Amino acid sequence: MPSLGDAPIPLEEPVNKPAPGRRAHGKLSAASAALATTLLTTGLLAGCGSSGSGSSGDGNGTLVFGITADPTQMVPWTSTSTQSIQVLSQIYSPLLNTDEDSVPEAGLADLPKVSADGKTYTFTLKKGLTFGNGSALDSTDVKYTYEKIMDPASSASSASYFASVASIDTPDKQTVVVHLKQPDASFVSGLTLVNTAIVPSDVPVKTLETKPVGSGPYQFVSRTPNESITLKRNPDYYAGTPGAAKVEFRIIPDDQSMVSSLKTGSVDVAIFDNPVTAKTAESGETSSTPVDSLSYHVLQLRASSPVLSNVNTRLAIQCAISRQDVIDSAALGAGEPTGPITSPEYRSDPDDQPCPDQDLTKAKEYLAKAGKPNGFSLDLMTSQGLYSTAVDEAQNIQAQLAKVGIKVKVETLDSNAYVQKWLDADFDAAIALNGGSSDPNTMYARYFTSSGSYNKVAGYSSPTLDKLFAQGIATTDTSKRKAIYEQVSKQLVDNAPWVWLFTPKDYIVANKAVHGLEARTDASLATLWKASIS
Amino acid sequence: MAARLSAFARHPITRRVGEAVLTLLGVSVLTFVLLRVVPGDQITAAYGTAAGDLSPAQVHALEAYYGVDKPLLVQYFSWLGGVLTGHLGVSATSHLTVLSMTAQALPNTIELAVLSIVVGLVLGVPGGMLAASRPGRARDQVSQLTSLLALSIPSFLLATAVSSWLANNLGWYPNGEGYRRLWEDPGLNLEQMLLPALVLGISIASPVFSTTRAAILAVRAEDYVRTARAKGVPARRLQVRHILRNALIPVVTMSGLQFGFLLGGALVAEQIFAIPGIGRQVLLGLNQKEYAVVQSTVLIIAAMFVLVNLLTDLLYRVVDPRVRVR
Repeated sequence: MPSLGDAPIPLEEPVNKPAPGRRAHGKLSAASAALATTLLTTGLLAGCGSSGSGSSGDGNGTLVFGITADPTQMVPWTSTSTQSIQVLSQIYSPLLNTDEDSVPEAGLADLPKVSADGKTYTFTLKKGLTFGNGSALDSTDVKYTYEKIMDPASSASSASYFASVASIDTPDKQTVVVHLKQPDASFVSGLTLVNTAIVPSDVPVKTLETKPVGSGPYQFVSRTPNESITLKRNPDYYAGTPGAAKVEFRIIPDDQSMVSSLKTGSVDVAIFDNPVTAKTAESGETSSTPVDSLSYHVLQLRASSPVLSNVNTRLAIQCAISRQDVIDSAALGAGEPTGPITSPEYRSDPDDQPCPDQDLTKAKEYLAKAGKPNGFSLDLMTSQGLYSTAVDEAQNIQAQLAKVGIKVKVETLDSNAYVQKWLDADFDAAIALNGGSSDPNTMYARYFTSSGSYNKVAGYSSPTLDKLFAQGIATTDTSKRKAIYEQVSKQLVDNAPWVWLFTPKDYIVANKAVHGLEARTDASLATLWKASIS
Repeated sequence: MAARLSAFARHPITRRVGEAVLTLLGVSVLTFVLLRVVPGDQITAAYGTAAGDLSPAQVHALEAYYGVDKPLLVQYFSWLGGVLTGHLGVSATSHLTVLSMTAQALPNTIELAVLSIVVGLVLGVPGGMLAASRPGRARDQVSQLTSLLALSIPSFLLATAVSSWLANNLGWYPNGEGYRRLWEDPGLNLEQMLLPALVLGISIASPVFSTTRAAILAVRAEDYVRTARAKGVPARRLQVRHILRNALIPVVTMSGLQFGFLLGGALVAEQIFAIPGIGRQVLLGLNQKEYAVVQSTVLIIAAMFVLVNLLTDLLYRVVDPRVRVR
């Protein structure tokens, strides 16, 4: 599954990467971002009589976590692939964590004190923090990490989270003061992600590429490329004692092979984005838990391409599409219709749009208003290999739009070609799976403000949206922000630059020897350390 | 002197070696060009659509890091120069040299290739003999039908079906355990090789079967067989010594060819059964657009193929006097 960071990304091998600066996520991802809305103690526990959270810490077992590809990056700030985020979230800790509702909470540091003008953030680190190599984790390491991320030479995928940062001070070993150029209400949410996790200032980056050293629940032991990565418990982990003595990330490229491995008990936990595969993995020895996702499937229309420049043509498309039909046929029912914003605190009402359900009469009216009563031809780009449902979604939409005379030509591209065309904004319409975020500004400012880094790709902006996004980022009060992003959401669905389809589900499959595994939104592994194995 | 040089240049062996070198050069140029013609580069492969958020300064830093900031000719020749001096490049993902990655992966691929060929021969040769013993009769038709089936079933389907069935019904799926090398844990290694070798072996058995059957029928019609029979050679001895032995020559040639292909990596089997072989090394390199990994690994595979062919050619000269002319 795809994408991270609000951008559609390659899933398996080319991997999901979080867009720099965005909340990553995808199959599992955003691990530390932990955008969790649900916290279920999974059914896995049921049979075993262990208590859901917390680990006893007396487990001596090895928990084997199945992943489909080798992590492609091993330094936190470069991490973009799902697998990198999964593995690195066990080795490193970000400055802040998130609770099960994706709201930032204390981590290595307490929640910051924010100055009245919203431009100075003061963080106090917990006492006695150490890295896996025994050296102390203090304010110097935080400053070092963040400055590295801001240095273009690091090519950090998380650099854009620090776009508003002016300077960082460390008045003492436990205090970090971040000065912003202007207020940035989404700044704190970026500090919960794996790609902003703190690295030791006294270990060369070159060394970290092969031997990661962090302050997370597990420590790096060994890696055999294309085979496995082995970690051992960090006895000094600041948040508690990790449940398993060892965690092995084992690479099994084929989904069916992963299913067989789960059933025979050689793999303990794996995550699937395909509901059918997840179903086949259920047995007497395993159980499957669906989790919600902040990412969203969307039909991107580019208002700046001539064929879609008239708002009525775009609204006609919105009205001609039944989102439930897309979910049922392409995702086999595994998903929920969605509006633009998926951030739990700011979620859009999925029914608040010109056509909440398919309405062919209205679609034809819009077509007539656009001066194309008999429909028109539309090129739709989709990808093969990024995530399992992309081609089916395109074909379903092709069939639905045909009912109002819109003739869709589907172009299916391999993942690299798709990404290249997407980045070049070389398309009229595209099927995409974009990453979500707990922060609505992070989700959309880059797409729908005129200066956004992906505005060319999105193909739409307006003075109203520019103003609303500027207000949203400058407002720290959550209820006031909510009102602003409701307007953003309305602007988006009324102008239909895109047609938002649905949020997918991920499936966590684990065997019954695993206790205390929390099923978090986006299948984040931020709390994997609580799981133990009998 | 000049005459001697030109005689050397015209010598068949020199010529074959020269051709082999030219072939490899061609392969290297082709791989280099193809990799760069397809859309996307190492940056989009690593960052996906997130690449759009990279600042120009970040992109420059990355291009320098991946070495793609230089002109194409410089990139090609610096890579080729590296290869000639034994430096095949480094993977940006695993930070290992291509040489050490290949040293890890190649033995697994060779083991799988050998086992698959053995399975293919064990199934195909007796099958072909059986079919040829009564051409046109029931046993022949049944064997041919089986062989056709074996050829028609896609190996990924067979692999998935067999392994799911075993896991579901017998609770046995050794490939879910971490991969063990032959010298680390021979028992588990052979268990892990069993299914992929069977699946590949079955698809090889089919052409082996057909070749064996055809060759036996052809040899049986030869004059020397009739002569031997007339001389009163016992049936068994006639079958084995006179017919099978001669019939096996094309089978061996064909198996050698199949072996060559398998050395290139049995990608589907490696992928499904999680065997860290050379095929997966190329695939992962392609997905990540790791130019050096793909170029060098493909070159190694091509070199093995060319070498096997060259050796076969030279061997023919030794074995078959008719080829030695000129």
